[in-house]
Amino acid sequence: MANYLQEIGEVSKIKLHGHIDASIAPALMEELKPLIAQKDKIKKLVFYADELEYIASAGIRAVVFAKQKLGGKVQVYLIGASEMILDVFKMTGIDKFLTIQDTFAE
Amino acid sequence: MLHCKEFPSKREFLPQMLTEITGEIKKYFTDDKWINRLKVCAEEILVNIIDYSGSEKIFISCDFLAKEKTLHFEFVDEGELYNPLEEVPEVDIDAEMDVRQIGGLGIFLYKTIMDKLEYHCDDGKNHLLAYKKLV
Repeated sequence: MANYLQEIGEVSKIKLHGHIDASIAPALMEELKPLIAQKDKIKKLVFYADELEYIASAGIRAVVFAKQKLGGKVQVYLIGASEMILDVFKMTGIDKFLTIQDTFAE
Repeated sequence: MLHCKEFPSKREFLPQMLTEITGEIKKYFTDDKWINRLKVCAEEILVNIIDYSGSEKIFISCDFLAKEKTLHFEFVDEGELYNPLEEVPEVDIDAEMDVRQIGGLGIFLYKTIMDKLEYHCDDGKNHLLAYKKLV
């Protein structure tokens, strides 16, 4: 396990780290499954990205997948992402549907 | 310069391929954002070949066209003939996230980032060429 999933609750937390490329993204998807199984209790999903060094489209797809499975009422946050990481999110237009912050503020 | 360097078309060799390609990119690009963008492009192209072409090998070239101040990449595989530039639906980046198509993002990214992309088949091989002018 890559240990991305930190907490499941009203505010659920995912800690993204290292390189999330096509070979790693399936492990992230796998860790999202127990979270999605408890989607009724989740109000906010927080992706911490301060230790994320690289993300490819496979990683972006995992974020989209989580948002789609959790439904429109769940607010999704991206916290502490570097400019390089944000750049990839912006190019795909996904940034418009995320709350982007340096540190998590409810 | 990389000239037709051969790699096994397998996921476990992806980091090695990207290390070689990134090394070439860094000779000409100094902005971390652009180095990262071009690395993302290379990964998207390579993953498509590895996952879908059925080729056992990938041949990678990367050189700098001094006159045009352009970095040029060529990816060659021996898999099923397929033009990735033609057969993929466009991604609507303004679409609501809840109705987003989850596929096609990778190709969308390298179509967006690169200045020019060309595909041709030659001797039964797929050739994908990508060009990026210095920024």
